[in-house]
Amino acid sequence: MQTKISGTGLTKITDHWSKSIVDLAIDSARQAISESNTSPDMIIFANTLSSYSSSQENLSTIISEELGLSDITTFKLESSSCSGAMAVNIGHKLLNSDNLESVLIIGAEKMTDLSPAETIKATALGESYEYTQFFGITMNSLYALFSRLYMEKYDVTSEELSQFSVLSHKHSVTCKHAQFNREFSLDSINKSATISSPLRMLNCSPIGDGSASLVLSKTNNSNFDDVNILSSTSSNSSTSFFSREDLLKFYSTTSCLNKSLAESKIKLEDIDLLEIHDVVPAITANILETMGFSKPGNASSDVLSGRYDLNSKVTLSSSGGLKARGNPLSATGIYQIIEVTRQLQNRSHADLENKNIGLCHNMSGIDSNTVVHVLGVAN
Amino acid sequence: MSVSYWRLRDRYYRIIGSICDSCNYESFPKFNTCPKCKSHDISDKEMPHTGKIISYTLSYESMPGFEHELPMSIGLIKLDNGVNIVSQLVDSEAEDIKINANVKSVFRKINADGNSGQIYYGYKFKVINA
Ligand SMILES: [Zn+2]
Repeated sequence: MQTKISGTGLTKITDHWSKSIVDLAIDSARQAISESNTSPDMIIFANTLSSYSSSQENLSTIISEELGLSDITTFKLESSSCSGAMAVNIGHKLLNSDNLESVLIIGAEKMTDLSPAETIKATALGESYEYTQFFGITMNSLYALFSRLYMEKYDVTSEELSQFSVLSHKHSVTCKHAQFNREFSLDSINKSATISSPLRMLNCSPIGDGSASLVLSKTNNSNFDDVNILSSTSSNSSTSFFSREDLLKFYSTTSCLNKSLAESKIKLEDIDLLEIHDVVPAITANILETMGFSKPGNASSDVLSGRYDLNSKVTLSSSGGLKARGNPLSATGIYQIIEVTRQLQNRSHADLENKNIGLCHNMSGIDSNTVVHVLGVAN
Repeated sequence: MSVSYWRLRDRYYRIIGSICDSCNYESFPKFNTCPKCKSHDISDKEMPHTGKIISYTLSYESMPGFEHELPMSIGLIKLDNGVNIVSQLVDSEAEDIKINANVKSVFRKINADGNSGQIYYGYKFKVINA
C-alpha cells in the first residue's frame, strides 16, 4: 500500500494581522479537505510556537471543533521547525498500520503577534534554554557560526554563498503564496544590513505567518493525478551542532537520504525536484553537498552555473524555499510537500516539464532532527 | 528564570560539565548518557577555562533583555580539552577576534530581572595574548 497525497491547502505566507492561528489553520485545512473529497479520520496538528506566541495549547481539539469534525482522533505534534514533515511521517506510518482511510495534517505558525525581540527568542526555542537562550545566543548567531566554519573549510566567501539567496528570490517571483515576489541582485543582497556576521538580512529566512495542510489517504478521490509517498524517513542527531565530532557533517540528513533511497528504490539521479531546509546559504550548500547533488565546497558555484535553476534537471526550491517563499516553522515542511505535489500534478505556478520525482528535506535546528520525503507520480 | 538559575549556578560560574566514568569522554553542558559509549556512569567535571576561537559572529539582533549588549560578539570556542562551547566574547578588540585567537573565561553579569530583580551571572570569554 502506498500513501497518496489526496488534498492540499495553503495560505499566503505574510503578516496576517487580522487572522489568528486558528483562522490560518482552518483556511488551509478546508482547502485540503475540499480537494480530497473525503472526511479525515484523524487530524495531526503540527506547531511549535503556540504556547509562546498565542498563549494557547489544545489547538488540535479547538481546530477540529472549528472544522466541524468530532469523534475523531486529534492531537498536536511538536518537533521544532521539522514539526510539519514529522507530522506527515507519523501520519503516513499510522495510515499504514491502523484502521484509517485518511489523515489530515495541518501545519500552522503565528509569528507576527510577537515583538521583534520575542520573535528572535521564538526562533531559538528549539535550542537549549539553559545554555543558549540563557546567554542570549540567537538562532541566526548559531547559523552564522556554522556559516563561517563552512566558509573557512571550503574557502568560499559569504558573497559567493549569497547566490542561493538570488536563486530563491528568482524562483518565488510568480508564486502567489510566497512571502516575497521580487528578485534581489547579488549586490543588493551583499549590501543588506548585517544580522549576525557574515549573515545579512537577505541571507536569512524571514518571519511570517502561514498554514499549510495535506490530506494523506489510501485512495485518491481528488480530481488530480495520484502522487505517492515513495518513502518517509526521519533521524535525530545532537541538538547542538557544535557538540558533534565533525562540525560540518550532517549526520541526520545523511541517514535520512540513505534510508530514503533504500525505501523508495530510486537513485539520486532520478530526483527532479528538490525542496530542502534552505534556511541560510551555508546550510543550503552543506545539505546539497551532504546529499551528493554538489561536490563538497562547490554548491554555490553550481548555483551560479545554473545547475539548480527552474528548468534544469534538478530544480531547487521552485517556489523560493525558506528564504523567499517563507518559513512559518511548523508549516514549512508541509509547504515543501505541497510544492512538489503540485509540480508533479502540473498545477504549480511554474510549469516545469519532465518532473517525476521530488525530494523534501525539513529539519529542526542545524540537522538536529531531520525528515525526508520522496514523492512520485504513480506509474 | 530564578529556580533554574539557582540549580545551574555552579555550572554557569565554574563551567562544570560532565566526564564519562567509563570512557573519559568530556562534555559541556552535562549529559545523562555518554554520547560516545552510552554509559550512564557520569560525573561532574570542571572544564578548562582557556581555549581557541574556531568561529565567531557579531550579532545585531537580540532576545528580550539583551538589547543593551548589542552588537553582541559571540564565539565558538574549542576549550583546551577539545570540548566546544558557544559564548559571548567581551573585553576584546574587534580585530583580535579571529580564528585561532586564544581566549579565557571571565565571570560576568549575564542578565537581570528588571532594575530591582535578580541578577544572573555566568561565564563569558575574552581574547588573551592579543
Ligand atoms: Zn563514555
